[in-house]
Amino acid sequence: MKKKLLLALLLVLALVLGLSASAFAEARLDFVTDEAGLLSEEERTQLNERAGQISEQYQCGVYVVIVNDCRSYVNGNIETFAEEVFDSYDLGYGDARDGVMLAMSMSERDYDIYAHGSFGNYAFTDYGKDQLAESFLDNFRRNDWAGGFRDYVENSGDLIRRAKEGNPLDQWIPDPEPEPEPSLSSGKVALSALISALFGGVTVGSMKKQMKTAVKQTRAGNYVARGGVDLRVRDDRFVNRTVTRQVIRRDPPSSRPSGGHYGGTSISGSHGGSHHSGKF
Amino acid sequence: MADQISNYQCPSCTGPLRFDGKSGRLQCDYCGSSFSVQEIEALYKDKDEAAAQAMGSEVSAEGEWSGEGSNWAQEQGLRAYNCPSCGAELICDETTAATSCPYCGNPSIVPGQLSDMLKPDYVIPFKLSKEDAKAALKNYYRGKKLLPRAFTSQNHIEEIKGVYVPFWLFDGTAEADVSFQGTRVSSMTQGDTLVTTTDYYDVRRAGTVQFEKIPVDASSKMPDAHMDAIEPFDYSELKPFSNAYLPGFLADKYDVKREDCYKHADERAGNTAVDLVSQTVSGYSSVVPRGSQVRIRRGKVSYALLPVWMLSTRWNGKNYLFAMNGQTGKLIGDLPVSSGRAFAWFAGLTAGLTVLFSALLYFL
Repeated sequence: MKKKLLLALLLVLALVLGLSASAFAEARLDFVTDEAGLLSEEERTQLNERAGQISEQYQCGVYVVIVNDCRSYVNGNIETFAEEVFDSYDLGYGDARDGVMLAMSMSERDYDIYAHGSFGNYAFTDYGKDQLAESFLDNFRRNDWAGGFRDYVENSGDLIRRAKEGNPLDQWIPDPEPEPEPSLSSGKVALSALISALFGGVTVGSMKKQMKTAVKQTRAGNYVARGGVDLRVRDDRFVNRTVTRQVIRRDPPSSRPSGGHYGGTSISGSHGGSHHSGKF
Repeated sequence: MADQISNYQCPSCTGPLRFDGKSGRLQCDYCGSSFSVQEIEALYKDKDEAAAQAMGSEVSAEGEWSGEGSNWAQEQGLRAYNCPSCGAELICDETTAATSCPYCGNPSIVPGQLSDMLKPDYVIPFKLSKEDAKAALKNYYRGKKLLPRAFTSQNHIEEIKGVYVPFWLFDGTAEADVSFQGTRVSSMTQGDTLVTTTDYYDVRRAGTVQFEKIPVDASSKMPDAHMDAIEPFDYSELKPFSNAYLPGFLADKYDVKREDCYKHADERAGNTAVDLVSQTVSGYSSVVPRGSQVRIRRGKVSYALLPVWMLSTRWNGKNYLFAMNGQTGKLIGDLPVSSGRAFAWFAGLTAGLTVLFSALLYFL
């Protein structure tokens, strides 16, 4: 029933461009909506319940919306679709409407992970969304839809939990080395001259060597009789064994190393959300 | 008195014959006739024997050579012969076995130098011609950037000579007994600990290697390094010795005794045996030789004349000798180095690279 409602409302959305989000304010959307029929009703229900639990526990919505063709609903791509659905259904928790949505369009095999709200964007960093996508894409490539969505829901829960603990999954990006000012000191010139002289000396030495070819032979490999090698003794005797142990020193992980920054989340568009999209 | 020198003359026109490496026959340049080695051998058998006997009788009768040459020649360690063709007196080294008359140009053989006990067992006939040797030498000069420009124009390449060089060919067996210390190293990680296990082995290999016909040049005039460097010769073309292969080329009899050549042959055989035995050690992370014992069992020794094209030239008061294997074409020889050219190359490379490296360092 709710699937039908979504379809109807989105069709209206597609036909009436510029329609205010308030027109959908009263509508509700499940945590998992499968217009494309990838999941059995049982699978969808289970996922819906689990996504709901996580969303309620952390007050940050976790959503899945699957349609056959997102262009039937919006004049744009999968990212536009995700933004419109998130806004139209007033998804998310709290004033900032924190949440994350996995939107999928089957005809183009496009997907988008859309994070919204200040906490949503804090929890789902660019790196976090990238890792989240990797966790379910391998299932999708094997047409294991239920498994992929389960991974998405559970891993989204993990990302939200980490963020609640003040430790969102993010990537440390060291600062680029400052570009040195081009300069040519006398030391550099001397070094160049030294290397060049060395190279020149080796080259000329090699050329000189080519001028001397009369060399006395110290071997007679050309004159070994056919079948004339007879190895009589082949003795390999173990004598002793030594064992050394060396402790491997590992530098303790620094909570916040200097000289760099975390990747964070790249907010795009006017909806205050961030995307990670691609093909599955 | 019989002549000590033989001139191989064309049975058709009496012109001088020379051995042609390409055809493997004796060629008359005057009438164009050619003859097989066997034909000429049969024709000149009696004459060669008479010449050898003439020389042998004079040497044995008086204890020293006292032929038709002058006393001065004897005092200088030389020998004098009369050219059977024009009668001119030929002054030769006491080892000369084949030469050509400087007056009439006829190839001349001294059969007594290569008969009886002095007769070589084998000969490898010349396969490459003088033209081949000249072309190879010109090609050898190409691309040698440090070669003085004037050297190539002044080294009288026309004077390149084909010489049958005497060699001792040594058979034998080398017994090598070599010991090593071998190690096998493996590493594994246990928690935060890297465990490295090193197993030590005493490794021993012993065996015998048989050698056939290791060549050592038996002429004191030929530098050993030059003769070694033009090896190997293709022994499949070894032929029983005949004087008929000599006309048109120079030839010397040996003047270094086989006993004096053993050391070089033994050394080569011993080193090779150690190498071959050592190559059978495998499967170790490292192998360190500890010692080796080599025993040489000498075998048959053969005496052979092997073909070499030679050019000796002088440059700035120093001799330069080029040698080319007359069978395979392998050419060697030390070349003079132009100090000016060497410095110019060094300076040019250094200056150019300094600019290049400085430009690279400027942006680093």
